[in-house]
Amino acid sequence: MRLGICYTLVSAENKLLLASAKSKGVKLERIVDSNAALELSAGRKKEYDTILQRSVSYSRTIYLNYYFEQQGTQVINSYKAARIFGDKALCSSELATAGIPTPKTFLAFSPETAVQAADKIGFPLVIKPAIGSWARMVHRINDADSLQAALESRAQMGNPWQKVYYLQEHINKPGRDIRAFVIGDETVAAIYRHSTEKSGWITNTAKGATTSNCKVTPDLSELCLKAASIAGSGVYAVDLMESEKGLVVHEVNHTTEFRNSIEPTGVDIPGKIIEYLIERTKR
Amino acid sequence: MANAECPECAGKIEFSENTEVGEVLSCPDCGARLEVKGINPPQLQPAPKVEEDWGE
Repeated sequence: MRLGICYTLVSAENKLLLASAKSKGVKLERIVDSNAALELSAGRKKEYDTILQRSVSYSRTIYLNYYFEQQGTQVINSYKAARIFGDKALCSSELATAGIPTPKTFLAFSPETAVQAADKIGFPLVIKPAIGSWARMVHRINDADSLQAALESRAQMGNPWQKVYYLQEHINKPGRDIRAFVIGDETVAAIYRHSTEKSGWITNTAKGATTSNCKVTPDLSELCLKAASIAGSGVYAVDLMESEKGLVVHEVNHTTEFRNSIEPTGVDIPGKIIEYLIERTKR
Repeated sequence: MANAECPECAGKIEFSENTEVGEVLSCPDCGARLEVKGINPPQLQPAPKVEEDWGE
């Protein structure tokens, strides 16, 4: 059984995963994404049975997962999972077609059509980059003037992905959202992420939000398992909001961070990920 | 444990026994994000810039 962990940097999560694997007597070989030079012309040359993909780079993950799977290596999470959940536009579309409640969302490719989409959503709304995370460039837009300013700023950016306009209904959440962790066929833990003075309206811990335990109810678990199943069994973080009409799923993360979730939930998330990695490899 | 020197401000940064190559540390003096490139001898370099497509 040859197992690998692929990462960009040794984050707190990756240290916990490596320590957990060591404590279970499992050898995880390290693959640093920026050091990879993939010989695409070599054909099938399987080296690993399973790789735990922890790269924070969407572009590297897409190519690495595709390459590893072509070699016959199982990747957790898969190319399909990374492709869908690494792109908010694909994720929103998949959630809706799976019948999972999700905020009203539009995708537009010009400022003019973005304004038309905003008319259909109404203000306030949220504009986000389709690709990217940690709440960067996520803006709440309260009126037409603010939307114009946001669209003009994006039009000046060199990155064409910033000109893919992902606009979403703003959910009037109660100062918090929910992040639930799905490993295999179980919702193992959930946290509330509370907005703070530092994070403003945003509930991302990368922006200063705080966390507390959230009870995993049967309804919450069912919704999360349904969302996670879009791309097949894996390790996911499902983000939900409590709207006036009930829970809505707005995002599924495929390389989840959990450093702030172990203490409030009391769940050994890295340990469960390693156990799942072993179980998947033995299948 | 060994001390490393911040390549930005020359401040002293202490490695713990759990410090690993590839880990990112913050300089307590200037706040620079630094990637550990070596343990023995201790070696640091400015951490890679967070790219637009980075996330979880």
